[in-house]
Amino acid sequence: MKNPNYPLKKRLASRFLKALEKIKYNMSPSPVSIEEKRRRHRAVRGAAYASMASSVGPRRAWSRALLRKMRERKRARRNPRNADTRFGLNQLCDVVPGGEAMDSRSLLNETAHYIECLVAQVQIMREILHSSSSSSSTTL
Amino acid sequence: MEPNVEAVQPQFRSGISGTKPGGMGFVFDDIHGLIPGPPETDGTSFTALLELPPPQAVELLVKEDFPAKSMPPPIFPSNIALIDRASMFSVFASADNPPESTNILSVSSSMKTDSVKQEPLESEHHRNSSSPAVSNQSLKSIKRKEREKKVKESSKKSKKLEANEASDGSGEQLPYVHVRARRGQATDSHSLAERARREKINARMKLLQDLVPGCNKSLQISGTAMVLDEIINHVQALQRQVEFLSMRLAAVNPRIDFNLDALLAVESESSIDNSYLGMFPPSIWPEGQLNSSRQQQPWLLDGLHPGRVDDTSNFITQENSLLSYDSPPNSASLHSSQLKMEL
Repeated sequence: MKNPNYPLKKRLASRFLKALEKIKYNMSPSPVSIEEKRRRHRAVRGAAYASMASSVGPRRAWSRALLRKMRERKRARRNPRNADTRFGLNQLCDVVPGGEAMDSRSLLNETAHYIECLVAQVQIMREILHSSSSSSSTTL
Repeated sequence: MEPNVEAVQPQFRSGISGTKPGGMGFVFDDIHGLIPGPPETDGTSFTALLELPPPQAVELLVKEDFPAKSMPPPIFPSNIALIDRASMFSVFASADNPPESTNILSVSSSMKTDSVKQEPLESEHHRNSSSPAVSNQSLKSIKRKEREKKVKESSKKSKKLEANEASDGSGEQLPYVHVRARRGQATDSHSLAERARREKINARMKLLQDLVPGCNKSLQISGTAMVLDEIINHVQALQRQVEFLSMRLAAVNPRIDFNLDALLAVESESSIDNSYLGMFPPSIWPEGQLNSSRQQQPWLLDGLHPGRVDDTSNFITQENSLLSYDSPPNSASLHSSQLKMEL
């Protein structure tokens, strides 16, 4: 969509799928505990945002902020503090990651691009869900 | 936003004092100071502008193209931007100077074809729904619209011409883009620069409005709070969708081989395993990093050829870097680019 080299949606799809595979590989086939399910949910959500940020790369401020958060989170996880730094997003300044350090004009720019990426990501996830639910049996 | 406004100020003043030693009486300070004619000749205002040294030309455009700080100030497009801006803002209503207006239009239309970056201008040109290629007509329509706006009450936030024919007549000959205050507004440079910035921000908001579905029917740009609310709602809704979908995806049985071929066929044209492997840009992710603990991959190999275990394992290990994103060459390159961008 934005990158002339390689369409954004393809990049998003490929990275997200790879991340999903990794998650599914690491997790047990059928989680029983609620905590496990929650962890998996967080992992998938993190994978969604991570694939978004990494496919956009450091070109955008919001993706840079996301990547920074991911790195911090990764380091925090090495020390098993279990710090739940979810991508806390409240208002536009906080909604777009890294929005606090931007002036309003670039914030709006970032928001526009972020919206586009979000839309693409949501479409991909929906397609994955639909194709997987239609082709094979899902155990919820 | 505030430090930017402050930064604009000294630049303007230095620009004023630097280029016009004759005490031109820049409009930003005093509109009526324009009445004494500038030392420049008539009709050559824009050529004079073009001859201006680049830093001063950039200074002139600071009011409009403020990311001269964030990106390298393009001299040529900024001239074009200035010309377009001046063509929109400067005095066309006064019938005294039709030759100058046509001169301005011709200059701007000729130079517009060379422009590189026209984003804030295009948003304003698209307001008149004219393509940049038809620059002359677009400018003329903008001119007409400016005149209409002048007739209307000044309820808009944009800086448009008001009364004051005297300053109209002399203002056009100025090489600077002069900005007229609305009726009853303060004319000091602070508020003017602030209004300039607000106008730019409103242009961006319009773009965002187009992105957000169902937000286009706002009455005018200056329903800022509502537009902002809509945008925030949209982003939050999208994020909620991501959460919801990720929850569902997490609950999906991992036995699914994801049917990647079909998936990618849905989104793209390629549909075979070979193209599946070829689609992922392997240059971005480092090869290697084989994780020896990945012994059991039955679910992954369901849909794939057993002979390509190595490739799939490679791709799986590439996901390792996807989530953690700490692969050394990638992080190094990205970090350096990050540093470059954040500087």
